[in-house]
Amino acid sequence: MDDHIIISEVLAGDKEKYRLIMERYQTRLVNFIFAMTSDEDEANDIAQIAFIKAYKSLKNYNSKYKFSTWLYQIAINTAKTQLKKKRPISLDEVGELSTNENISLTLAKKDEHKLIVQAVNNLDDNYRLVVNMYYWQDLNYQQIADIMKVPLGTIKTWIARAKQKLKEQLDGQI
Amino acid sequence: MDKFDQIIKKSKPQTKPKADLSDAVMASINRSAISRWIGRLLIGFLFISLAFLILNIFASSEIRSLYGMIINDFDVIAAYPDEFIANLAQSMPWFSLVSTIGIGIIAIWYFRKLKNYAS
Repeated sequence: MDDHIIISEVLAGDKEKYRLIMERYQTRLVNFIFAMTSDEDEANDIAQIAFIKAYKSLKNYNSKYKFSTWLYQIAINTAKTQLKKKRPISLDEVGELSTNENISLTLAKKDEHKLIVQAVNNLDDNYRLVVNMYYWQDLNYQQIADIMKVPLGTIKTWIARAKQKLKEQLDGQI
Repeated sequence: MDKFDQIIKKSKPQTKPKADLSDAVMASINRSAISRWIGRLLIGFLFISLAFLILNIFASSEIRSLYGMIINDFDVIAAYPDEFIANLAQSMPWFSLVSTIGIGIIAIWYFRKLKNYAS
């Protein structure tokens, strides 16, 4: 059943239909948030809050966009708010805690997969988000541009820069 | 996609959503619906109590035009403030006084919440 049909039925009063939406998107959403938080419980908690917020704002949803686009927007805002509440330091500062030297030191202990995730976590917020969406959530440039509400060209630039920064960080290590 | 892109793609962090995620969301949605109705009832009760309060303030007065009533009462308050308050206390049933003050405090306390629930 199409998302828009389900949403119109939920808005008409059939609350239980919202389960269908959740079943459709919960894996994607939890994985998306997990890539931001690296914490399973936190990812589930944030996904739960995002789904509740989406339900409460369902009447404001613009069917011109894909439902997933709108849901990702809510998830990003929710994650940012929750992470700020939990961590008194900014997300940028969290990235700075791990330097290239640290990556080198941990190389012996961690596999390539963890090394890449750590390198992605070292990127600035916007670069981190676009890497997450483009490489890990299989979203295209236009979808990412819609979610982040920035021009398409900016997204292409961010992805190219993020990739360049990742290459610099991981130079010779993978 | 080049080789480097493929390597990043394969490094996707993955987890599974908790089995009870959708149940937890639905439970919260249902709780919100109940809270919304409680909020609406409280606000409704507040308005009814305020209406009672206003009616009781002027209950002892003779039937007058709204304009005259307001002017007269302002005059009374200005000239005999103690007498006005005494009359007010005498004419106002405790129910109206207590419920208005009580619900007013609750409404102010939960103002933001009530505003959300009532919307």
